[in-house]
Amino acid sequence: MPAWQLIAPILLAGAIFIAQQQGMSLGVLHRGLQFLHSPVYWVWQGPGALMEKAALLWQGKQSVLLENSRLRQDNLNLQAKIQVLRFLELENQGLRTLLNVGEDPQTHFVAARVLRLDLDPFRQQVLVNKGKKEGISVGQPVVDAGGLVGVVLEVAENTSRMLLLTDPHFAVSVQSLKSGERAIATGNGGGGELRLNYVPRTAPFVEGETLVTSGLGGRFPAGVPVGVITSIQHDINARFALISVRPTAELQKLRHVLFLQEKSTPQGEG
Amino acid sequence: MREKRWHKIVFLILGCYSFALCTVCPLPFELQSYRPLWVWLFVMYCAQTLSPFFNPCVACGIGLWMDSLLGVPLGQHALVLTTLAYWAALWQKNVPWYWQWGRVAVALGFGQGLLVGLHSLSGYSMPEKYWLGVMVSSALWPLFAWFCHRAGSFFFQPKIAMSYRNK
Repeated sequence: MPAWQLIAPILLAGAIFIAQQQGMSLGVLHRGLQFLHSPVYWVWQGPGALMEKAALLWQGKQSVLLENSRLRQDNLNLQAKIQVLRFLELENQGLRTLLNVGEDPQTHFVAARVLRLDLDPFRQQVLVNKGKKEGISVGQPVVDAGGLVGVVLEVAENTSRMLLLTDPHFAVSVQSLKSGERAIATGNGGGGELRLNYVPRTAPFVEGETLVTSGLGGRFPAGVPVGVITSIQHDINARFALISVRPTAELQKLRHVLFLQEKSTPQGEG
Repeated sequence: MREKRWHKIVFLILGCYSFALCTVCPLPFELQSYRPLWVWLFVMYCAQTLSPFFNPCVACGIGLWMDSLLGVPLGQHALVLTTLAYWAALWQKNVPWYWQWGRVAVALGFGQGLLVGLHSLSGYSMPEKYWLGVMVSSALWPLFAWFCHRAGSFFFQPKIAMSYRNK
């Protein structure tokens, strides 16, 4: 075998790897490769949808009726909550107008089904079945019924890949619901948890406290639940406290997610 | 009649997509470390049976495709698969496939080591059970090669040495 057949691809792969490490954009190559591997997930989506339908058939009429009545009850409760929230929203808008502050952006959701969940210790990513066609863009926040799930990392025509909040490369500004104290939460990889970085030992965080996004930085809207503090360790020799946070989103059982999309951009900060 | 070039291309594409599906199919969290390196094995098989049509340049392309599929920085699998394809092509016809599991274990171990090194360069830490996939894949190699040999014989005449008699 001629030596160039080994050297040429090694040089090419090495150059691509280094270029990406240096932050160079390889958009065309990425798009081409995404187009080539999209049939894999297209095929993968079929059996998943079939299994969901089969599971529904197996459930039987009685359990479907029970679930239906539970969902009706949930719907009623949620409608009541929406009425209260609508009143609060109107009041909030009125106050903002009085204070001459810009309106909050309106948010709407795009639901997507999880195609692949990578909970590898060094790569915590999810692939979902919505992409550019549905208006998904890089950097968009993703939530589930529990709270923040992650952020969109890559978008292809029909799929998109998102970084889970437990990935070691993920960071989000959070604040305590009780004290309003702010901190930066980062993913912890394999443990499926987050940790709060550079929090002084005197900070008023307590176990069981809920953390929400602070809205600082503008990437995530304020008030989205992120996690609950599970442990706080104070080491005498360390300057900072060691705080672990369990995500409120059910990452292990993730099947559907919601992309947050803002309808309008904020005119100012509240 | 079986040695047409497009037969090999169809076999290669079908194999790549099938084993990529096996690579991305969900597994319980505890079993993920035991997942065989399907596409790596397939590349090693093709390097031995489809040569000179299948060369390290093709393996490099498959590697880039794998990088994109798995969402890791481009170039990692490309480097590993290029090396593996070259290595495997050197054994071509020298050793029967069921005797190759030791060599396969060494090659896959080398590839995994290279991948872990590249992961570290990208800023990731090395997981504990990273080597289990190599062990499972090496153990599966004779069965895997036999299966590919059977499937491949529908498309072309595989050139891999099947027994000592073929040598």
